[in-house]
Amino acid sequence: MLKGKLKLVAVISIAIMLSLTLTLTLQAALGDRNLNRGDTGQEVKELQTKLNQVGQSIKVDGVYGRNTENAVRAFQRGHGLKADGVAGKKTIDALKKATAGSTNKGGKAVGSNSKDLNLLAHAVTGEARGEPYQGKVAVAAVILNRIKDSRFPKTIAGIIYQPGAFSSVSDGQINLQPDADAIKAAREAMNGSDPSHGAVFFFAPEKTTNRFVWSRPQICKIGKHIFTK
Amino acid sequence: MRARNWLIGVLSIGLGVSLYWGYSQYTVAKQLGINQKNQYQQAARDMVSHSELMENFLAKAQASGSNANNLIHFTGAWQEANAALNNMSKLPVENPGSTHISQFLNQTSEFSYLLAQRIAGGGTIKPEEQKMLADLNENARKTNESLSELMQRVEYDNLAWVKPEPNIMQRVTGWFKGTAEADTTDVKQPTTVAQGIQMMDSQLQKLPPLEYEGRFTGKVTQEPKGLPPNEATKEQGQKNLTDFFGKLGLNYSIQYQEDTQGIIPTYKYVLNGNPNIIAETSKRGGVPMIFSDNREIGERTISPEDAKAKAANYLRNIGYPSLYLTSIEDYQSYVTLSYVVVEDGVRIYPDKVIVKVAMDNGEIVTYISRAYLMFHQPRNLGKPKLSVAQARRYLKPDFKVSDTALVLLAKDNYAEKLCYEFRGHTDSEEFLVYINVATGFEEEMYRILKTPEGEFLK
Repeated sequence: MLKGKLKLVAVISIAIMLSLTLTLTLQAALGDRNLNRGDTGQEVKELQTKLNQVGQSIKVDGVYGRNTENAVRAFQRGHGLKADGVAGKKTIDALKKATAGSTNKGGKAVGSNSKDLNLLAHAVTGEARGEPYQGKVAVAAVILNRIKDSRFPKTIAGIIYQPGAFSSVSDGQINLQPDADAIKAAREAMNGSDPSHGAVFFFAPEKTTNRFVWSRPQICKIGKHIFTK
Repeated sequence: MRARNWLIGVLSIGLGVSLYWGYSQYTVAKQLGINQKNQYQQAARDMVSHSELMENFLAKAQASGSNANNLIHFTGAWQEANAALNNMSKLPVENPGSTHISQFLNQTSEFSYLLAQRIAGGGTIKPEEQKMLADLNENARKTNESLSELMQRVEYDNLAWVKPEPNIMQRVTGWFKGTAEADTTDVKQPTTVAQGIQMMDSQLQKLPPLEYEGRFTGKVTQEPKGLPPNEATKEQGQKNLTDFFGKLGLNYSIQYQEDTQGIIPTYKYVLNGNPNIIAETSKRGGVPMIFSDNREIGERTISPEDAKAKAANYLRNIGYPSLYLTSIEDYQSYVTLSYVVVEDGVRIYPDKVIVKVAMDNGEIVTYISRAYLMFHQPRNLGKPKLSVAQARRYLKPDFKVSDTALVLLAKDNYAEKLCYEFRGHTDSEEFLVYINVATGFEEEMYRILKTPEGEFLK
C-alpha cells in the first residue's frame, strides 16, 4: 500500500518536473541567458531570424553552429561590441534595438521606418553589389532624391518598383537578402549623406546604350556608375 | 528488330514527355502574360478615371462660388491627382523620369492642396491663381484626351504594353540577319503603350508652362546662398582643407581626385591615399563641405554624452559660433548628431550641419555642411507680431505645451517662416506645432515617434 503511494508520488513529481522543464524551454525568451556555440532551440531560432534582419544570411535552424557564431561576430563588429561570437545580454539587447520599430508617446507601436530602410537596402544590394561603399550610399541617395522630384512616384516602394526603373527589379536581384554593408549604406543616405550630389539617375557606362540617360547632365562617377541629374 | 522497336518506344515516350513539358511551359507563360496584362490594364484604366475625376473637380472649382463646396473640390482634385500619379507609376514607360505627365499631376496635386488649405482657413483665391486654375484645367483636359486615345488603341488596335519578346521564328531569322535593333523612338505611331506614353509626354511638353513656383516647380535652380562668390581652384580647396584639419589638430595627406557637378559643384579629394577617407570642398570659395571616413568602428567605449561633447568641440574648433543640437540618433557603433544655427536666440532650421561620431574613440567620422552652405545667409528676421501667449491661443485648448522656442522653419518650397515651435502632447501622442509669429497660421505639425535610435519626426 505504502509502496504504491510512493510510486504514485514519484510518478506525479516526475511528471510535474517534466512539464515544468518543458514550459520553461517553451517560454524561454531571447535574452534570458547567454547563447553559445552548441546551443539549440527556439531562442536560437529567434536569434538567427533577428541576425538575418540586420543583414546576415544564415539558415534559421535553431542550432548555434559556426555560421551563427560568425554572424554574431559580424553583428558585434558593426555595433561597437566585443566580437567574441557569444550572444550575451549586451549583444542581444543591441540586436533587439536594431530590429525594433517605432512607438508613440504612450508606448504603442506605430508603423516602422525600418520597412523603408529594408527596401532601400534591398535596392542597394540589387543595384550596387561590388561597388565601393560611397557608391552604395549614392545609389540609396538617388532613390531618396527621386521622392523630392516631381517626375517620380512619391514613395520608396513606388520608385523602386516602377516598371523599367531599375534592372535589379526586372531581373529579380532586388529579392536578394541585403548584407550589413547595404543596410549601413541605406541608413547613411537616410541620415542625409548624398555622395551623388542630388542625382536622380545612375547608369553603368559599359552596359548602357540608352540615349536618354546618356543625355542627362553628369554629376560624378563613383565606382562603375555615372550619376546624373 | 526487337531492339529497334524498343528504341522507337523509348524515343516516342521521350517525345511525348517533351511535348507535354513544352505545352505546360507554354500555358504557364501564357497565364503569367495574362496576369501582367491585367495589372497594366487596371493601372491604366484607374489612372484615366482618376485623372478625369481630377479634371472634373478642377472645372467645378473654377465655377463654384461656395467656399464650403470649393473645399471639397480642391481636396477632391488633390486626392484624384495623387491617385492618378500612383497608378501611373505602375505603368511601363520607356524612360521613367522623363514624364511631364507626372510633373503636371504633381503640380495639380500641390496647388489644389494649397488652395484647399487656404479656403479652409477663411482665405480667398487671388486672380492670378484663378488664371492658373484655368490653365491647369485646360492641361488636364488635353492630357485626358490623349490618354483616352491611347486607351482606345489598346482596346481596338491591340497595342502591346511593352515591346514583345521575339518569338522562335523571329529569333531564328534574327540570327541570320544579325541583331541590329531598330531605334523606334522617332516613329509617328507608337508600337507599344510605353512608347505611346512617351509620345504623349512630348506633346504635353509643348503646352505653355505653368507660371507657378512651388515645391514641384520644374525649374529648381536654387543657388547656394552660403558660399563666397568667387570660384576657387582645386589647389585653394586643398589648402582650405589643410587649414580645416589643422584647426582640429589633424594632419592628412590630401590628394585631388575629381570634380562633381551637383547642386553645389565640388572638388573631391582622397585623404592619406585611402579611398575610404574622402573630403570635398565647394568650387565656389573652396569651402570644406564633406568629410567622410568609412573605417571599421571597434568596441564602444564612450557614452552619447561624451559624443555630444566631442561633436560640440569639433564644431567650435572649425568656427561655428553658436549651434543648437536638434537630434541625436544612436546606432550603437556610432551616433549621428544634427545641429542648426542659432541667431539672436532663433533656431535657424534650414542652416543644418550633420556630424557622425565613432563610439570607439570619439573621433568625428563624418561632417556634412551641405544644407548650411546652401541656405545660410544674412537674414532680417524682424520681431514677432504675436507674443508667445497670443500664439498659444491658436493651439488646441487641451494641447499641453512642454517647451516653446522661436524658430525659422524651412518649408517644402524653400520658403522660410518665423514661427513659435510648441512641443507638447495630448494623452498618448507628442507633437511639434509651428505657429506663424505674424499671422497665427499653423505652418507645420510633426508627430514625434520614439525609435530605439532616438526621436523621429513624421
